[in-house]
Amino acid sequence: MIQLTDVSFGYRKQKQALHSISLDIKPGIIYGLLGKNGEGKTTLLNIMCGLLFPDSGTCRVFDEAPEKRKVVFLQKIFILPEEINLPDVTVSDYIKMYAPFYPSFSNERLQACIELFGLDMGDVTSRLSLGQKKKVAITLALAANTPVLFMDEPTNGLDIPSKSIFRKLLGSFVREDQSIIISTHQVRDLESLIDSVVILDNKEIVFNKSLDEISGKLNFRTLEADEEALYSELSPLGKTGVVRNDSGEKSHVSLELLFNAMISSKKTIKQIFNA
Amino acid sequence: MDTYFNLKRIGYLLRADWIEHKKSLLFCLGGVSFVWIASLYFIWSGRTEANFQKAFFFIGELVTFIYYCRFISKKIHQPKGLYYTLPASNQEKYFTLLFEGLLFFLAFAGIFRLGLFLFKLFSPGFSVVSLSGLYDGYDGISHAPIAILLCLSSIIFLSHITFRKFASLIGFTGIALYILLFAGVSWKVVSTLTNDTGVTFVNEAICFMRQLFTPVLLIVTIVVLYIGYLKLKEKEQR
Repeated sequence: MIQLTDVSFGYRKQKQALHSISLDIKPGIIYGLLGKNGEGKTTLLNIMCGLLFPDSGTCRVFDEAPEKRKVVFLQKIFILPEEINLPDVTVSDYIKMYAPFYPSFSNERLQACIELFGLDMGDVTSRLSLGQKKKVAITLALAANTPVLFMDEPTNGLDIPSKSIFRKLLGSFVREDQSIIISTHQVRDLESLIDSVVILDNKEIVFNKSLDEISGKLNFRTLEADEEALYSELSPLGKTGVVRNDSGEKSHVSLELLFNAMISSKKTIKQIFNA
Repeated sequence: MDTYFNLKRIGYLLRADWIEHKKSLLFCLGGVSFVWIASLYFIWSGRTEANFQKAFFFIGELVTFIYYCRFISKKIHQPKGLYYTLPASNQEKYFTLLFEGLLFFLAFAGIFRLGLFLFKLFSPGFSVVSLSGLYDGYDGISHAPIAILLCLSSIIFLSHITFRKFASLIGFTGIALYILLFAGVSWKVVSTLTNDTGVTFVNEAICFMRQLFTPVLLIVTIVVLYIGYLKLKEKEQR
């Protein structure tokens, strides 16, 4: 569906934002794009959308170059930006403005989002709070029903019940021919949703595995006080951390522990997965 | 099949803009109508009606153009919503921008004519200047050809598409440079042809410009508008 091969990009010649990125996005999977601030998550999304051109390497989405920005390509993608800047219209008008552009637009999904998020179609967007604006933008993004959906920090600004509704909606809407790429650093919000994890570090993709593979190779659990781990931290429940999965017993993957382990023991984790 | 120019999508773009801006547009139209009718009522007193109508029409066109430039500048440099990622081609988006300019102008012209006819209904002695008459020169002032106006407008338009800040200032500086270049070329051509660098030069240069440079100006306008299209295309990539 989306193939990136050796993609490098820099906003300035001397400073690269992304270096030699290769990635294969498959349909029917929700990808979590994780990384520290400024690691190039948004840049990578913008390259896949054709809003930025790679300096070198190739990016193909549906076998087309995104930078050509053909209408048929744009009809198949939707990007939900981190910062929501809505026009000063009612929620109903906002949907009316953009819905006709997307042939795959689903009124059924729209109704489900409106109902679950509790949106009032008569509300004027300029009078909404940040969280409510985000809900309106998410509603359009999900109702557009495009084969590829890019979401940049979708849960930022949402309250706790809305985060749960968002997970419920996204989980129920994803189709087998659809790819969803979510860039986030709020991993706990989306832990139950993500199927595959992509970690960006030092401008490169250092990790790209499915949750199934991760739980097969790593174990996330409470540790003994003197037990050695790839990464550990103290929590109210005791010491929790990531260890090599030697027993073959699968555990629930904690994305936060995984991310921290990847940053602190990159080499060892790579060896475990390559073994 | 991928098409770069689809009237249906242009309709969607126009509809989206109308939904977003209808309040401010209707407010402006109402304001212009009020100012126009009020001006006719208070200022008109049987004197040179034609010049008054022409002056108002010219000022109104100018204000409409400035409003239009601000409109496109906001749309391109501070886009709200999904403007750049909307599934419509650059050509469609650019055509929509130009078409909206025409609609702005037609809306003003419509209000202007309507105001005149309404006023005439209640003031039998009042005579309405014909459409073609509006573009005739004022008394004692040479008429600037429409080609020059189009060309200058296109430069200001390009400036607003290209620059986020100081677009008008840059546009007018561009026009000043353009006029200097134009005058320089005219001076060179006229002085070569007539060996005359005296007072008659200005009249001859104007005559020369009007006769020969109109097609050139129209070509320049088209080139400037094409550059505007390329600039919009460039803006789509952040």
